[in-house]
Amino acid sequence: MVETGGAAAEPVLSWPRSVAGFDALIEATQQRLIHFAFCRLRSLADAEDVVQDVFVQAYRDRDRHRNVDNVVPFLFRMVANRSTDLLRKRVGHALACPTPVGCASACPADSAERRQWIETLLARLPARQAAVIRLRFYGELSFDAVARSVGCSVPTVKSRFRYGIQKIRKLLDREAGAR
Amino acid sequence: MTCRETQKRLVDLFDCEPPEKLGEIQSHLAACGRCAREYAAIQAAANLIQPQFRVQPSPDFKERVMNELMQVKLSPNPWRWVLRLAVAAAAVVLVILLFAQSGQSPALNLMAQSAQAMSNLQSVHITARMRTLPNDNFELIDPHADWVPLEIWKQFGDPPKWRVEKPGRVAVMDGTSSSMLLRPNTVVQGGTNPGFLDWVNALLETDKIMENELVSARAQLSSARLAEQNGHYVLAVQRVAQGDFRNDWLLNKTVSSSNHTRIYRFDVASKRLESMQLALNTKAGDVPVFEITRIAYNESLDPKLFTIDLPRNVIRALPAEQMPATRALPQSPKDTAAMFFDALAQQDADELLAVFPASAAPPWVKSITSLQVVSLGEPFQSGQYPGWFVPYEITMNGETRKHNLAVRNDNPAHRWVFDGGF
Repeated sequence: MVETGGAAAEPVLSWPRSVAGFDALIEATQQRLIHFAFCRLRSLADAEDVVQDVFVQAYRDRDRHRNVDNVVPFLFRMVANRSTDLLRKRVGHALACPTPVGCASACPADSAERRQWIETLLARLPARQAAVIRLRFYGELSFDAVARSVGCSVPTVKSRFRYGIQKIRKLLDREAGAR
Repeated sequence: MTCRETQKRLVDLFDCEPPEKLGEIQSHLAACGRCAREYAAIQAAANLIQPQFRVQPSPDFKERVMNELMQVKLSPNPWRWVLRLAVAAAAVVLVILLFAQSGQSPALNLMAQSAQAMSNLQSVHITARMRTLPNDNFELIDPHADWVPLEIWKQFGDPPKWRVEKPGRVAVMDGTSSSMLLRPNTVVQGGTNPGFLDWVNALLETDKIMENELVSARAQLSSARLAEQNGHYVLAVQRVAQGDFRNDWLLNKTVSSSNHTRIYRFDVASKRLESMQLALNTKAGDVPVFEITRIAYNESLDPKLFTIDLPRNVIRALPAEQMPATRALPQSPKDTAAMFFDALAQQDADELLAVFPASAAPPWVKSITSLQVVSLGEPFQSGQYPGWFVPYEITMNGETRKHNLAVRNDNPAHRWVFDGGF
């Protein structure tokens, strides 16, 4: 685990056609995708399972997506969708993961609780607004890449971001008032 | 710039790399306390959501994914052919329904053409791979096993000759008789059409594959669909496991006792088989378990291929009627299993050879240092296997094993013999 060092430069990668191409894609994106999944799932093992499944699916579907000019936003969307599926299963199986696992020593307890609290806040937003905020901050995607990932226009993404942040502020104010 | 315009554009300051033309907004923020407070509030919320740490992948993560991708690469989905066919339905020139009610079906014409085209075949050399155990019989499939190479050579003519080989066993037929070497040193003798090749026989008849499959489909042993696409005939055959599976032990463990799909591809002009894949239909989906990776026709085959150099200390498999009878013989499947395990526990070769159909005890017997039978269950039958399975639990060399021993007595002497499962 390292400190967040600001937004990473965003690679533009085409959908690889070969295993060797996927080797390079995995090298370039694994850290961001796992971090993105981890922020939501709070389990490194689950995050890695989700990202592994996504790479395998991306490899299987390489023919179908050969005309996609940038694979990265697609991968984030696939990771987001699979994370949602996994969280639904956790609820269904009463296997909610309340404390982060897989980062026991390096992840301070207050960060763990903080992340859980933030996810609780985001869960109270409309799903589309929460998705945009996660892709922007957890995935460190630009608004343009977020738009590609969620399949809408950049102005719509910005609008969802703005309303989402406003809602978060209201929720925070309400919590502060309750104290 | 007005406060309203500024607040609408504040979001641009939160992009990864904020656009360059933000000077106007920043100027406004410097001059307007209300908008500056609004920006600070958004910034505070963003800081809250922004993770303060970054997780790193496990050191072996990439390696794990690459291994998985290699598995996917090596296990092409045989249904891809079917899907492609479905997608390209409009391009299909010819779809032949096998059970056409009226007159001469196109399938029959094609079978006749195929037989004609293949009649001048001199040899075929098939390289394939199968998910199975290297030392087990040619029929066994195991979707969880690694790929095992399998190679087939056939010299057409009168008489034909062939060789079938995988790492643990090789079978040859030299025109008059056949033998199979179970490595390292057990040999089984047979005639020109021995039973030990199991389903591989179907591939040995390379010149009649299409005909045989279509005949099976007409006999309703399978369902088949034949289509022409881009210069190839693609024959998709769906087979259902044959036999009684009230006990499903044998289900999907061998080719003939499995629900599976075979996809053959033939060249339209030459009618020659170009590729074939076989996928097991399981509850979890289709699992490829066999595929031909290369076929070469009319290669010059070395006559030595059709002979085997047997090792000196060879152990010969014996027909049941030639087995020694030096003691009271077992009369039931359970007795047979009990005698088999007792012989191994006592390291008694004579007792073993009363139920083990070979000229001598195989070398692996000596590796057993201790064996105790924990339990023998009630024998059962499964699929089309003519013998019985006896469930057993033993401790051997300190380890517990649970499995089913195969025994049979469908030989002319009706003698109970061990047949596998150990």
